[in-house]
Amino acid sequence: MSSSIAIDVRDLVKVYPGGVRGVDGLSFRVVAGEIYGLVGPNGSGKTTTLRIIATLLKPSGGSVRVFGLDVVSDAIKVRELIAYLPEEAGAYRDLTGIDFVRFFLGARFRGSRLEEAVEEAVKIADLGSDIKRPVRGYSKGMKRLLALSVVLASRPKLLIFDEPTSGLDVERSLRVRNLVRDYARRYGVTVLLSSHNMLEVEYLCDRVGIIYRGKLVVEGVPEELKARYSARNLEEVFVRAVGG
Amino acid sequence: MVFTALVKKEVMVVLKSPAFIAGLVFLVVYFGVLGRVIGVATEQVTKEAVESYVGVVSEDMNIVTQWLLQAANSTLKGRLVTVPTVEEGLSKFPAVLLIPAGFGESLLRNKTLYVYGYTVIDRVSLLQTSRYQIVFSVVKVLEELGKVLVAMEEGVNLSEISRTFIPRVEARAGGKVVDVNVLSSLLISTMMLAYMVGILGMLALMYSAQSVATEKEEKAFEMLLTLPISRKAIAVAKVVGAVVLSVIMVVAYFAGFSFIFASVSTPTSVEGSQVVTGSLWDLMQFLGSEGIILLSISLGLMLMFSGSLGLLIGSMSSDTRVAGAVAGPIGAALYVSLLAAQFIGVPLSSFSSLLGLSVYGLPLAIFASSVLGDRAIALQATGIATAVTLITVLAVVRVFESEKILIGISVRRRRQAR
Ligand SMILES: Nc1ncnc2c1ncn2[C@@H]1O[C@H](COP(=O)(O)OP(=O)(O)OP(=O)(O)O)[C@@H](O)[C@H]1O
Ligand SMILES: [Mg+2]
Repeated sequence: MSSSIAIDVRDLVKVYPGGVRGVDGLSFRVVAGEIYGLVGPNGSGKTTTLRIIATLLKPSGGSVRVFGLDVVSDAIKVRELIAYLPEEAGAYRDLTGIDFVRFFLGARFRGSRLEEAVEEAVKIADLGSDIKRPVRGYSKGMKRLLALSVVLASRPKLLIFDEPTSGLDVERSLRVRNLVRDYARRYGVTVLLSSHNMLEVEYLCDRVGIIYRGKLVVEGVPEELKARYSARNLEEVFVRAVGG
Repeated sequence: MVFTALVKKEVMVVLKSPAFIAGLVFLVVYFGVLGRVIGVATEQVTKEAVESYVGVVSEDMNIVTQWLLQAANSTLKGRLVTVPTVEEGLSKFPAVLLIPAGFGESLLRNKTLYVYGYTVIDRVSLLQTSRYQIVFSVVKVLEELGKVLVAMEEGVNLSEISRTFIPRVEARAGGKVVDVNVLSSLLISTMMLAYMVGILGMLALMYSAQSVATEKEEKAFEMLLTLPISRKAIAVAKVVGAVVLSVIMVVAYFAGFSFIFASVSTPTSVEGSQVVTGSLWDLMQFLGSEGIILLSISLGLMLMFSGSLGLLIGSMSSDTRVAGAVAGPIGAALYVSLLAAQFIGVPLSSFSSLLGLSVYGLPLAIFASSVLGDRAIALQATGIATAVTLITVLAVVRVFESEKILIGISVRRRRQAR
């Protein structure tokens, strides 16, 4: 049973040093193979939640399981199953893009499989000859694409994206969305993402959870939510759910 | 107007940082305490040098010698006290002068005369050189009076008389007897070595503190931490990386240092003693192969300790500014402690092994152990320093395994929970 549940978040609480409650009693489940979108206003706890699922932060209360594994006690095993794209992802300034890709994928793959993965990442990043230049000279979007390529080429069971297309132009955003959807369908990958772009969420996500002040306010399939709030699009749903 | 606002912003962004303020307060307090300790040590030594009595053992019954000693005693305001043996003298006074048999007779005939001095050295400190410099100053007085006596005896002008009194002064350190000029030279070499080690340690500390903080700023850190690699491996790799980089720096800096080292000489202030120079080569010979091996180990330990301490600071800092604000004062404190060590002195006793606690002080403990001829001190000190280094490495691993690595320690003011 638990194997069909990719992520199981229960009564999650995160109190930061200093007393700020980043997440305050959050519960939701992501089914294996689905694309789940976490949306909410700034400071509502999206990044905090994703970081806990990605084993970077430890919960102050409640529990989080990834494919049945506890993110605290089985952190290493969880990390084998996931790849995480942080809100802000950069790379070592003085390494070239290709060095960066090779270093990160080298932690997961060996030999010819590594070469395949590197090739795949280079294709995804689509940076042309810039991939051989030091990251120091990359634009924000170029760095984003580089990090994204590593995350996708890692071929994990669970992809965690914190605002995947932030900083990307219209064309590249579209390409990345298609890539993410493709990967999810083709390799049966589960995807959890956060976003402020309702268009993106509507296009990509099978289900959406709206969080506000560290708690889940509503959850459901985009179409269903629109009907429930008699809204024309997710943006209206968002405004009504959070505002009301 | 705009310009002053710009300057104000430059200053305020730093001054508003709690880490910077904490570092500043730490430095002021630490240096204040250290300055006081050095002050007390210096005061003590100065007092000892100015007020102390010198024991005199005269093996020469000659009337000339008796007269010379009496005259010297009144010149020195009664600071010479006759004692039966050197041992007894040393138990009461910081230094003892021995006039050999036949001294009075040879004063009338020979141009060069030897007198013997003895002193006890109980700590490795530049200030302790004043102990045997008391002997040098007494010998100088004797030499002047000796010339007067000879001039009167021969009925010639004082300026025609030339006599040189050469003091042979030995220091007793533990069970060992060391020539004081050799000791001074070794002392200077050891201190210089300690400085070199200190500078390298400081560089390694600053470097590794900045490196983790930079990695955080480069924003690759979160991705690194979610790789299926144990945090222990990541942390230890960072320590090893910091050591490798430090070694590269060591090689570069050592080339520069050895040039300075070779050209530095420190003349002692009292006439009649030789010019004493520190030589790394002499020190190596004195320490022997065992000492050199331990010294190399101490260099390795120090780099590892500095590297991990830096990582510890860097991994708990949110950015390079905080890392610099914390690592700077700590590095400076470690370095200034070494500077202070030469004044405060390293006790020549089994307690010297406690120097290992600071890791940076290990070379001094190894030196003390060689002077005392007690290898247990060096081994104990190395053991202690190894333990301290390992604890620091373990602390780094612990921080990497906790979320402090990402969100830092809370130095922020408590905010209202919503
Ligand atoms: N390192 C931290 N220390 C203290 N408080 C933090 C820290 N990180 C986040 N918070 C607080 O936790 C709350 C949730 O922040 P979080 O970053 O999870 O929000 P978010 O939903 O990702 O916002 P955004 O849409 O702006 O990215 C905020 O109130 C924030 O101030
Ligand atoms: Mg966020």
